[in-house]
Amino acid sequence: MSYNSAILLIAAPLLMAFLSFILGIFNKRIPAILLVLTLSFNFYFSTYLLTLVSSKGVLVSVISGFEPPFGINLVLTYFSLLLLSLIYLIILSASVVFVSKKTDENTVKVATLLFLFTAAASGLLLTGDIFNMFVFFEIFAVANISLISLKKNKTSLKGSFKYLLLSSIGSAFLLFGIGMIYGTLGTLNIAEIGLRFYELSPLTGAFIFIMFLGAILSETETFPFNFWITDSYKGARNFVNILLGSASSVAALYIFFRLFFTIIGYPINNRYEFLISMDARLIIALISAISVIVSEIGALSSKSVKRILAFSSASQMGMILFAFSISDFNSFSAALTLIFNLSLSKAILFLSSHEIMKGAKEKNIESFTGGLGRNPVFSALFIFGSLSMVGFPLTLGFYGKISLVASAVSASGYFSILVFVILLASAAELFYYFRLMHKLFVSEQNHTEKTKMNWFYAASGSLLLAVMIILALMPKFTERIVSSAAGDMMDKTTYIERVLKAEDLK
Amino acid sequence: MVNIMLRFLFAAFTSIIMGLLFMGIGRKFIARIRRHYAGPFYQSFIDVIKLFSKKSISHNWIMDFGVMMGFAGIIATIIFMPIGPFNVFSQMQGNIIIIIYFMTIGYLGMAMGVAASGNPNATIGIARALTLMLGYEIPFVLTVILLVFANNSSLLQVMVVNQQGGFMEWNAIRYPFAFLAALIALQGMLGEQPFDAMIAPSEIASGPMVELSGKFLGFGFLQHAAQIFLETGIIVNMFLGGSQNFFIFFAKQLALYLLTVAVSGIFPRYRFEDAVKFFWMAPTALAAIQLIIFII
Amino acid sequence: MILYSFLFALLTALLSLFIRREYNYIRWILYSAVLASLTFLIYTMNGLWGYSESFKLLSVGSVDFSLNFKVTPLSWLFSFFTTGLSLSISLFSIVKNRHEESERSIGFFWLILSVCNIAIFLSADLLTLFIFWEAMTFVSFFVISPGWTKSFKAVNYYFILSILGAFAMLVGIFFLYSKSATFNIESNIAQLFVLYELNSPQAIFITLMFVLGFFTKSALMPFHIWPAEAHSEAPDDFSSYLSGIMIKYGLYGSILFLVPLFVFISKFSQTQPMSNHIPLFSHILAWVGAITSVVATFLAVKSNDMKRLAAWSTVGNIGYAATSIFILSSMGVAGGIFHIINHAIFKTAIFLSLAAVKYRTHEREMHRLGGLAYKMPVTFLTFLLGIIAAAGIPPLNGYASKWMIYQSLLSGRFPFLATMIFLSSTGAFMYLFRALHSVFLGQLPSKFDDVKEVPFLMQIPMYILMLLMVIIGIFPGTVLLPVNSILKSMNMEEIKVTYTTMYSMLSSVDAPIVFLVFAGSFAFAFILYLIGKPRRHVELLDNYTAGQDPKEFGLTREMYHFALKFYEPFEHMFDKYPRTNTKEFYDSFERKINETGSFIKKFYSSSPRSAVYIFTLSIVLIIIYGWLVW
Repeated sequence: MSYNSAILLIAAPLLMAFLSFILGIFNKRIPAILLVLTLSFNFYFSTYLLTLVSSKGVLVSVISGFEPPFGINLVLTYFSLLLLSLIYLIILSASVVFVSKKTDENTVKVATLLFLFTAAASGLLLTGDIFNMFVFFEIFAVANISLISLKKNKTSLKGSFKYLLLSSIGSAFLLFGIGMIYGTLGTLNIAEIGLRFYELSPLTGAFIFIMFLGAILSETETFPFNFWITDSYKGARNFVNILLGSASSVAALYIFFRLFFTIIGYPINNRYEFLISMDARLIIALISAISVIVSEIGALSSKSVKRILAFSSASQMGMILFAFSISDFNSFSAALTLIFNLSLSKAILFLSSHEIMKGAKEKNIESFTGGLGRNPVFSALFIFGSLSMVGFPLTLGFYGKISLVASAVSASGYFSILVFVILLASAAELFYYFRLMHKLFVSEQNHTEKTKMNWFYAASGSLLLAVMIILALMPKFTERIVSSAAGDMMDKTTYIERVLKAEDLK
Repeated sequence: MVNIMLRFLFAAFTSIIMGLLFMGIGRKFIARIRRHYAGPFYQSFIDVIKLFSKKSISHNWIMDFGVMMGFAGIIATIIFMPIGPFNVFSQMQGNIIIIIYFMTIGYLGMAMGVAASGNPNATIGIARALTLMLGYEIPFVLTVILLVFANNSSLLQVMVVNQQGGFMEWNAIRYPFAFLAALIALQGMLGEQPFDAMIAPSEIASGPMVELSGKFLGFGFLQHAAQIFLETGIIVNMFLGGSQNFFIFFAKQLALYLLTVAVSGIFPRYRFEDAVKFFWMAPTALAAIQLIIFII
Repeated sequence: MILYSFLFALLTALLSLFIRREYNYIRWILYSAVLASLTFLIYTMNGLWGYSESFKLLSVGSVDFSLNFKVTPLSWLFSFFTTGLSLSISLFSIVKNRHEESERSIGFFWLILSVCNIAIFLSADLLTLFIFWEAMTFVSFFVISPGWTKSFKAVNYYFILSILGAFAMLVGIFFLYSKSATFNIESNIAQLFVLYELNSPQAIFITLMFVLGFFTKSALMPFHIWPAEAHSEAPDDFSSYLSGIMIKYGLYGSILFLVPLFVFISKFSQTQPMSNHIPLFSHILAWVGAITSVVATFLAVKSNDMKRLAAWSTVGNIGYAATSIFILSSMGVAGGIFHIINHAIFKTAIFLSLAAVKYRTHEREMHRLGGLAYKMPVTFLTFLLGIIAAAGIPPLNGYASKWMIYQSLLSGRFPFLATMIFLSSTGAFMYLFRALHSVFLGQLPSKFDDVKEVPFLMQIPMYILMLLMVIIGIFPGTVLLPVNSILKSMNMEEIKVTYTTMYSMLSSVDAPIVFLVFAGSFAFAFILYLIGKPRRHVELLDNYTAGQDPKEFGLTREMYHFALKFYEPFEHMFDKYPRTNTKEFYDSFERKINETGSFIKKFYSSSPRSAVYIFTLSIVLIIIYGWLVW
């Protein structure tokens, strides 16, 4: 298989989505098994492409013979493939959780939705065309909305409706921005837009910047565009939480990067600057810092565990966006480490908290009481996950947080003040995570029944934990992937060159 | 070694004998002020001997231990104080910080002993005494700091040497405010009126002494005697130029003691929290003013 | 060697989790063995100054994460004493935790904590220090509050304050790192000094960040509230570790980083404001220490809970040590270090004896106790020697360090600081005696009639600690000579000291003579005691009751124990003055945050319509912002 078959990453799940509909008629288990198989394949293939890209640089896979910038093409960069593998890993663990559920009339539909989700995510991360990105963005949102509403209770419907509203406003903004670009530049290819963005008047640039902000900030769970999070997380099923909290966030961050850095930004002196008339970095940094503070405070006084985790996820996303806004090599490395930490540990947290709270009537922090005695495996998972989340020394979260501080302080100016504020706010995060962990240690009797251990959950959780531990304990490996991805992110020139001169490389 | 032991015993006995003598004379003196009669000036000696030969009760070993420790603490402090020209050790001649801390052993021992007797009156007395201590230590320490700065040494002996040459060289004349503060603090240290709330006989049945009998009370007597000797001695060394002559030294001490007795004879008792407040106001201000004058 | 021993200890901790409940003494014996071997290892490192180890971890962006350890005289002294003391505490814990509900997690995290403890002292650069500092803070959370609801409330003050402090320190470290591109402590001190000359406000800001980190950990003003909460609610044996050892990290950091910096400034700087020949900044910090000690003393006088009282006493002692350190003279720094070591010893002794009391009586309120000295003589003696040392009474170790602190304050001409220290020292005597009386003396409540002394294994550490207090009191040189080599390694003038004698500019003290004088006086008193007519023993309630028969009016022993509101009139002295309550301040801050949080939470679960409004409004705001900038 060569890199030209990268389209398989999108096509295989799409094909399976149709297949599973048909095969699901015979046996409801089949789609689920197909799901796990497809994702394993996708994960394997994306890592294979990753090794290919790491040796050959950015690759472009041209579809149906039209060369860029005219045709549709897939751009394989180290950064996108790395995030894609991560997303596949998360979806894989979520689908393992999904497989363990009893089958019902919904199983086939959900499997289809998950295939759709996978295909959309692959498309988002691989495409080199901004309109394609919009299309996949829509599919992605549809898949998310349907998945959130699976539970069919009030919160779930409310959450999915909010998500629907906000993301459709967002995609309208995106469409508007794309339209503006197409109208002025006459191209939809990301690389070419990035090359020729300077041709736009600064006012148009600023306008497009704001359109893009409106498009993406809802997906990146940034205050005040994220009013969907609490209800959606609370109302969704467990594996959907994993997808929302980890996979969707990673995809959103990827879109954020492409829209703002590859298109609008240009690297100078080892740092991205923006081709618009206002200080875009300040805006992003401010919004993300406010987002961190608000969500930390919101989480502090929440009682429902899922809501706490949702707020925490928003605050972590704020931190990553803040790292993006510093926009140099160091901060991108920090952001990548934080992305790894967020996606892996958040998945573990959702998964294990669900198992710990199983059997309790009210799913709030009180149902954590005595978790360690009741459910040692998942309590241990939860403790590991939250320790990494809050940055216990020598975990991924620690590396991420420290290097974020380092890059912000060395960027000086308002970043060093904002990072101080963010750190103070993240003390709140420590507080509520430690409150949860403390509840696990409480040995008082409560009325939560001891439930049977779910091995699928355990397997999926320990898979994620293993990845996390490997990343934290294998310095050479982590260092290499983080620095190549960050280097890839910094290197806009190569991206444009490779995409626009694809025919020379063949 | 034997030499040191002899010097030790000399200091100990001098302090006890002179202290008891001062007490006797003090009684006579106060009787003259209040126009009543008092026993002979050697009455205190008779009292002590009598007490040691009477039978006594004790509640437990801590009481025995504490009372002994209280007396031992005061004696140990006296060892470090220059008595006129006499010093037990050739170095550490009156290291004032050691002296202040050694005095606490006496208080701790006595307090522990009487607290172990299990009588609440005694403990109330101790609580009052300790609170009062928080009061008078402040002005006293300020004067000590002043003299340490002035002499660039924390040895009493050095202070004495620096005051030689007529009474115009005395620190009492050089630093009158500080001397006044120290005198008021001395009143509190000796537990004389108006600062005697801890023994208030009619209120808490003599406070710490309530449960002491026989030789325990004897120890209490001895301790008080030694304490009079010690505390007047410190003030004499600090402010009145010490002396190269034993008798002049004792005379200065006696004069100081009689002054405090005279004051106590004409003052009623302060509530002890008011006493603490008073200590933190007037004498502390005096000492602080003197210190600031000195520094400027 | 260092790292492998750490890994070994961590592995032991992990394996010990699998020991079953019934055999939990094996777990604790294992811990003692690990601590003993660590103590021995550190002992063998004596004199290997400059021995270092380095382990590269990860490098993210421009930051190279690596663990660097180095043995210096300072780190050796601290790590040796703290590990030795933890060993003695762990001996105590073997029996104490036999029937403890959550001993498994206590023990597991405690051993990790001991590793962090050594690592903090041995760390050679700021990043390593921070790594273990953070780990220590996180891990200690679970030891103070091993699933106990009450201690969870208490630990929050500690935890939040420590975390905020640690984050402040982190910012300080990286501000320096962005200038010096290294985590090495010496170069960073030099860098900061240069920064003081070039950009003084920024340098002050960075120093302040470090000060925040250190002072929150060591509970100096205005962070002094947490020990009273955390120390009193922690597991009883762990309280001694917390109070004896863990609270010292802040002071250790100050000696490691701030003192050399200020010494540098006072020697070479022409631009910085000075007062009393030390930098103004340092002088202010010394005042903070003194004020802390006074405030803590008054709060200790007020407390009725014995562990809380001991915790306040700890804060007071930290105040002395901080004052002494920040006046920057050799005598002051030496006295501060000496006092830190001494305090570690006697406060461990005090807390262990309190733990022994609680082990037998399950009581913490002092007025419910009393007369236990007659039943638990060893515990009583430990406590007695502990408070003698704590009040700075000769001839135990506390007076030696206090003497040095006074000498340094007086020879550096700080009269008012000295007075404040003196005030709190006398106050310390007041409240410590109150504890002695209320717990150990006075009447024994009848419910404690069959209380026994603690088991022998629990007495062993008490004997060790008593011996240490006496030995260091008689031979202060045992600690002060190593302290001298610390001063030498910090390029400070050494103090004049031998094994037995301490010299200062103002006077000198020969500690054995002090001891002998005390012993001689006691012998003198004892002879007098023997001369007197032998005394007769009577029972405790056979007492002066103003002529009444106790049994007639139903007097019980509990009623005849004067312990509650011991210094009430003294407390009432301050009634008239307005009081600022720091804890109330923190609590109200927390309430405010919670209210804001509920508001945010409510908003998040409001209807989709408002979500859309806000979305649109925010976009409009951004556009307006763009317009304004334009």
